[in-house]
Amino acid sequence: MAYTNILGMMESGKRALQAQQIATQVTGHNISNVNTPGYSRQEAIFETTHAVDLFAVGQLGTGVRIDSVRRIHDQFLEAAVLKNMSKSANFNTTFDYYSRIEGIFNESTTTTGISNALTEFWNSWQNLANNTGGTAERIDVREKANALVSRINRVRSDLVDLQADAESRISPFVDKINDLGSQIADINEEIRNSTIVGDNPNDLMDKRDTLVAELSQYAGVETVNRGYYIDVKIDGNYLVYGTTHNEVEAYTNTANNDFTDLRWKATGVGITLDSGELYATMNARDTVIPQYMSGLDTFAQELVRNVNSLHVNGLGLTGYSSLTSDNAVSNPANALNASALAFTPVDGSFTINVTDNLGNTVPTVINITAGVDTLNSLATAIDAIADISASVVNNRLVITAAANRTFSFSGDTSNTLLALGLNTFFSGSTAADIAVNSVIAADTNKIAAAQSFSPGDNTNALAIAALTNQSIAALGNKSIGNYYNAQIGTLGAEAERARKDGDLYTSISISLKNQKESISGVSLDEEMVNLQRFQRAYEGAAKYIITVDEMIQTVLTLKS
Amino acid sequence: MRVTQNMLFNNIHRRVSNSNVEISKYQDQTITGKRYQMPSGDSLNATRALGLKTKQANDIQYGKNVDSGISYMTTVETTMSSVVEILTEAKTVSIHGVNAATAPEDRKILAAKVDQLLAQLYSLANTRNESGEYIFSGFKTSTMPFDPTDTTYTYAGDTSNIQREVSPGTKLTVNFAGSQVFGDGITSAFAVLQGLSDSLNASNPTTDTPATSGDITGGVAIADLNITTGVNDTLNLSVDGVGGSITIAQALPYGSAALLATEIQTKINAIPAYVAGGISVTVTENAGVLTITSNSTGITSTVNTIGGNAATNLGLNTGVGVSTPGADEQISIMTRMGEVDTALTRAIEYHATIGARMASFDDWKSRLADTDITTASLISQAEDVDMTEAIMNLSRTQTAYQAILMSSANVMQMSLMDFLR
Repeated sequence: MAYTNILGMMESGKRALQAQQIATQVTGHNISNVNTPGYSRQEAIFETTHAVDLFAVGQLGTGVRIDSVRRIHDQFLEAAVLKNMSKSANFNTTFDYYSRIEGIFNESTTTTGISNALTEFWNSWQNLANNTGGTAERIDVREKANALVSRINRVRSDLVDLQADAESRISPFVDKINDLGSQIADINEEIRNSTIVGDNPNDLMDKRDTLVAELSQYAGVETVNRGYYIDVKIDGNYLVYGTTHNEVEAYTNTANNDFTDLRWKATGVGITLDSGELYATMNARDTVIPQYMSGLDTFAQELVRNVNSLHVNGLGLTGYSSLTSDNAVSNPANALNASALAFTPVDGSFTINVTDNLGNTVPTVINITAGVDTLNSLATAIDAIADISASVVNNRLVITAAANRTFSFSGDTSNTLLALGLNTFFSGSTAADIAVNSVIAADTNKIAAAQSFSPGDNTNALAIAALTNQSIAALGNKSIGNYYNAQIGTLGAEAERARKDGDLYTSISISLKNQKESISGVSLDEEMVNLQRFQRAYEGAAKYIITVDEMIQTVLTLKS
Repeated sequence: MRVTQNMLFNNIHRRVSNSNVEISKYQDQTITGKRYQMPSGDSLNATRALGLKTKQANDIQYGKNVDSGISYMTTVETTMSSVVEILTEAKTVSIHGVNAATAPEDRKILAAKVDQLLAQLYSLANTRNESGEYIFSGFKTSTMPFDPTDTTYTYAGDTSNIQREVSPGTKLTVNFAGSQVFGDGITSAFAVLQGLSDSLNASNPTTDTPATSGDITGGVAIADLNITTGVNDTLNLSVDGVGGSITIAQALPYGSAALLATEIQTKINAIPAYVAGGISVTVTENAGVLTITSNSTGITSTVNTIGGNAATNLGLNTGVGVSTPGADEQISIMTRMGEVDTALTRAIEYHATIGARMASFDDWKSRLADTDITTASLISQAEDVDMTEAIMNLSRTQTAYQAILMSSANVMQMSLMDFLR
């Protein structure tokens, strides 16, 4: 084409008008979406149209056209944002759980926690030691113990509730992940279809990025850009591969306390997450909460063991006329150390003292061989003692004294009294079931402050009160109170760390988001300038068309 | 860097929200006076504070234990000082009594005085504290330690120590057993006062009539004595608690019971342990019946023929012969005075001991008070906020907040649109 004509000039004017119009429209689209989450600003790319070769002049331009509408986007930055997002969601959710656990323990600067109740409990024994005959002191011991066990029970059941709450969140998360996965697969398909026909599906890509971002909040994902597609991997397997979505299944895991765990529906392969809100929730359920539950259980168990071990050998103000053991054995014909008791009897002995109404006491030593003796044989041995009878009722030992006789215990080296729950202070053996023994609850005269029937004997009360400072081997040579305080210290430290990690990743996220916004965000000022620019260009092109038109008219005038 | 309006708005949003978090934190601090509300706020200090608070509560309890101990010992101390007064008075009475110039009828008045003192001493020994517990009974707090109707003056309590824990593992005793303070049985202060009263009432209160072995009946006539060497020639006995043994020679011609009595007396008094202990006996004979009498002048003098085969032949009963002061067997007021003095010394000793113990409890009390101050200040260091700092921080964040709002308001107003017409 080695020539030009005036109508061609008109054509290039038209192209210019069209191009500026499209650019203005893109600007309008940007302005409209200034607040749309995930929107990446778009830019109309101007391109000169093919030039014509003009002999002796060289190439002559034929105007402008819009080559494409480009989405301004940095996919590497996007990947970094995703990664941080799942970490930040992970730590923030973890901190949420920690602060809820802290709230449950409530060891704040006030006096509402177990720690305070424990101290008051020990001190109530000191007060009893100061006045062993005092009814008020006895009732105080019982009430301080009630306050302590009710706090322990409440914390334990609140932790169970929190765990159940975490568990109840798993399935909705899985539904959400599947929903997002299938949407991403659908969008992958749409993008492919429109790209094949030559479109630039910018808005669909934005939408897809938004979906992937939402997904990465729930679970750490890995994304792979593959042509039209973005593939999404969870735990090394594809959740989305091109246009296919592999479903994640929530199933009841019998190997994990019947909690809901994740696996791939198609293959049945289990899924292990490493970050995201869902991971944090499962981690809280499986690791964080159980850690404090078991710490509390150990604490409660040692409290019961140590207080009871001293209490069983002590004496209240009055002996027993009848007593039923607190803990049932699994089978009275089984050996005592194989009877499913929370505390296991060992070889040793204990003494039953039978006292008549004149105060004369006859002690009888009962020897225990833990692997041989059964509850039945123990009952027989006790039954053989004069003036008391013993039998097994509902897998429990029942001892009854004859008229005008009472009985009491001492010198247990076999843990039998502790294990069966005879003359104990606490019943139960975990944080969930620790309670004040019903016998004590009904009659505070049975609180064993003494080691003799003398009313002023405070030796046992002093011994129990001294537990406050006694280091316990089973608690890593810490005292019971210090063990509990150490648990709270760990909780505080871990919560603090989770909070700081959360803060860190949140601030990294913010900075990455700012970077992303800096590249992809819409600047209204910029768009205003562009608007002005395109308007002026449009005006110029219009002026050009008018000029060409006038030229055409001039040409037409030549003819007349 | 390209900055968009959204970035500006996001930043404003974030800063305002951060600022609010800070304001709320410092406000919490100024309201509660604590640096943090939950352990995660400052886990290190929170754990420290938790441990310190346990210690503080324990120390407060130890303080209560000390107070309880002091209150218990105050009762003991008051009682002891009255006991000392009464025994001092008894001693004064005995000094009057021993005076040769005192007329027998005056001695009777003095005896009545001693009876009164004895009644008071019983009431003191049976003192109960505010909880109604006998303080001199050991653990047997509901048992009267000395029953005034018991003529053997036996202590009915036990010797257990009632203790108070004043610091971890340190248990201090707050009581005395009645047997420690007043003695037990015939050596008890009660027996001594009763004895003094008896001596003052006695007809001849200035001479001692020593204890005897008691009645020795069923004497065998000397002629019937059939002692064979190595078979039945041994007599075992115990005088004033010291054991001894003699052999009666078969060959000696016991022409009379009196000779036998002299022989036995010589042999007993030659027992080395008796010579060393200053113990001696007198053996008398009356119509063929032997009586062995200790020459000791205390109320504790005893003669005990434990046996040996000669005892039967001699017709000596086995068993204890304890002197019982009475109309016929008198102990001089002088001796009684010595006994009262012993009881008084014992009481003074325990009075001083209780004083020393109370001083030690006072020491613990002030030590605990000192520790409490230290602990409280450590707790304060661990969790309390520096109020000036908190208030300054609060006003600083408020100022910052205002600055953010003001600058934001300006920034938000700015738009190119205002200039493009």
